[in-house]
Amino acid sequence: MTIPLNALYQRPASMNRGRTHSEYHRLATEIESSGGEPVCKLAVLASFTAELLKPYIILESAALGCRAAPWFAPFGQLEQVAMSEASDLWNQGCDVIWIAFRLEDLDPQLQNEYSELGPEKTATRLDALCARLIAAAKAVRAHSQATVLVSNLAASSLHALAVFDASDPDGFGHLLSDANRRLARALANFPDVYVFDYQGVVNARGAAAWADPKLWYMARAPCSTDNHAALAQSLARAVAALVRPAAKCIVLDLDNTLWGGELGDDGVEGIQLGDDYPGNAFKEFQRTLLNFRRRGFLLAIASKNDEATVLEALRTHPEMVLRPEHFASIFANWGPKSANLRHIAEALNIGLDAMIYVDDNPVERAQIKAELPMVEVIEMPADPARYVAALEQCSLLDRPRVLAEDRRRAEMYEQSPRRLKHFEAAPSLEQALKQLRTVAQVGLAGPSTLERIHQLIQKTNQFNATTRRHKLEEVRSFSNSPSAKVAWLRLRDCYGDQGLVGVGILRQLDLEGWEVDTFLLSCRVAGRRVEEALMAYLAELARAAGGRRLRGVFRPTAKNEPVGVLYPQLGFEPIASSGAATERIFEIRLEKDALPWPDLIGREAAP
Amino acid sequence: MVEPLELRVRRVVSSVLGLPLERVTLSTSNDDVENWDSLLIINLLMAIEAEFEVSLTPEEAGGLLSVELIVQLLREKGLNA
Repeated sequence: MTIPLNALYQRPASMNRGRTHSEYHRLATEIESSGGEPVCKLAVLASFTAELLKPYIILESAALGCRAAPWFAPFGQLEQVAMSEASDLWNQGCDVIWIAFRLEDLDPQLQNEYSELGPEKTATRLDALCARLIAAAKAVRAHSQATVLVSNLAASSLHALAVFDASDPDGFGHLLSDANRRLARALANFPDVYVFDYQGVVNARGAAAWADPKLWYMARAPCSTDNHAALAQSLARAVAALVRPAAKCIVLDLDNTLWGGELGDDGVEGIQLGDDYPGNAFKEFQRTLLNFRRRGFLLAIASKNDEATVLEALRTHPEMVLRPEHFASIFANWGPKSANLRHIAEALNIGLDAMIYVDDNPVERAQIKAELPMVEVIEMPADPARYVAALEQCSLLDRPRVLAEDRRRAEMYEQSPRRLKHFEAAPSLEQALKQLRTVAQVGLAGPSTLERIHQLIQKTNQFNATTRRHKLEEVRSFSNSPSAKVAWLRLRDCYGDQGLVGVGILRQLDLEGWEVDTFLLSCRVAGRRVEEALMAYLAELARAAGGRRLRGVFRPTAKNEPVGVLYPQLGFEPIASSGAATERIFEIRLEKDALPWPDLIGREAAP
Repeated sequence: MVEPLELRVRRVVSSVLGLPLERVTLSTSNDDVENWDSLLIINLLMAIEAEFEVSLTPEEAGGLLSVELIVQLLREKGLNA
């Protein structure tokens, strides 16, 4: 075949409608027989004929670059599949398990009986069926390492809500929303369990047009033929966000992207940005970007413009929402954009594969796609009024949970140019550390730190000795086990708090031996003696548990080469490798003075 | 140039069955294809309704058992060629 396979099924989101059922089948078969490995395995436990979604799930997930291979549990069996030791589910090796049980299947008569039951009894019945979902999610959590998605409840698609249902504070719709909220709250107690917003998908497509009664009565199809694509798209997005890391940085063009017109020709006063069309569309796009920044995504500029004029426009234009301080990196010059993207990656110490590129110009986009295929390039529509939707459609901007560190990330990068300058100006690293008054805090993982620790384990590529991507549940069980220790390190200096930036996990080998299973630092703090501090703390923990030997493992990857020298530098001796040939193993005897805390870094006790 | 109805039906059936077009003929039926089961019939129903912009009754859907029967049904529904 001459056309690459993905060109056949990747298309702008605006063209989603119009693929027919048989085309989904044909393309899904093509994808499956193309020989590539799926990115993840998805198990579906449903109260409807979920098999009808199969080609949609395959195609829509592949279109996001995150192909899922679905497996379907026998129809309608929630407890039998989720709560039985002998269940076939446990043999599937799934990455994600979707519990998709609908209100009209769990309690078919509830909506009909609501008027007779009254709000209190209806709420009780809703809670009872949520309890079934929660119990199933809990059982899956206990049995499997997979991430769990649980559909929330939508009103039956065979009945419309009464016209004034919403006027009644105890109307069925409100009772349903309350139940969904209680469901979300209960599921938030389990690690790696998330709500799939089934109600949101139904509402976005329109409840009245959601079901095809004939298909429902004949075959228990979840929805009309057209709506299969919408359901699978939302599901594919949720699954992608769960199995791959989100992007870190949004790189922006300026002219006709952040504002209308061309700064070089039109001047600062002449660009279109404000409260009238099309300036209002650009302004709303800037507000959207600012909101992504608040959720932890860095913003950067790669523009063919004069830097001084760009800064003037950002600083002085009265309608500008994004100001210079909102950008972690600005490259405005006449060089090729691909070079500027590389510079930005270097300046921010992130991978090109963690970048999203936004440019109205199709020629520039094509160039980036050709030269830097690892960068996610957004297909921007011609109409600026549709920019916001185009950006929000990008699945790499989805995060299952926004942590405190995410919210502060952009701020932390804001401090770092000053910090970087400090390091550059100081005569030595030692001097710089002393002047910066760097202080580390170390401690053992607890409920407030586990998620951040897990996040670092998932996304740290460079300063990561073993790149073992433990699941949240595994990290939790290490932290509760007497034969393992999960340690963290936070860092602050006179420029501010850098948050939780280091993780070490120890596991006991034998009576006197402990192994450093995981050792990682966020790359923006690596190389500043912080690794010595974290290792010193791990050595203390091992000693306190009776350890006399500490073993270090280095597992090389394409990205973690700098960590290769860590163990020899800290005084570990190489020993013969018994495991995989590529692994390097080191050991050190834990004498009293081995692995001391570096004197240039202050130390604070954990709270 | 509109494709003859028979070819269009063979295309839809081959897509839904996951078989190459040349292996699906006018006489292909649920007797020779193992996975032509009730789930497949629903998939055919959804595919045919969308492809030919027709609405089938449940009784008609139950008769989607061979390429020839589908072509006949669509002719009865007023599709020609």
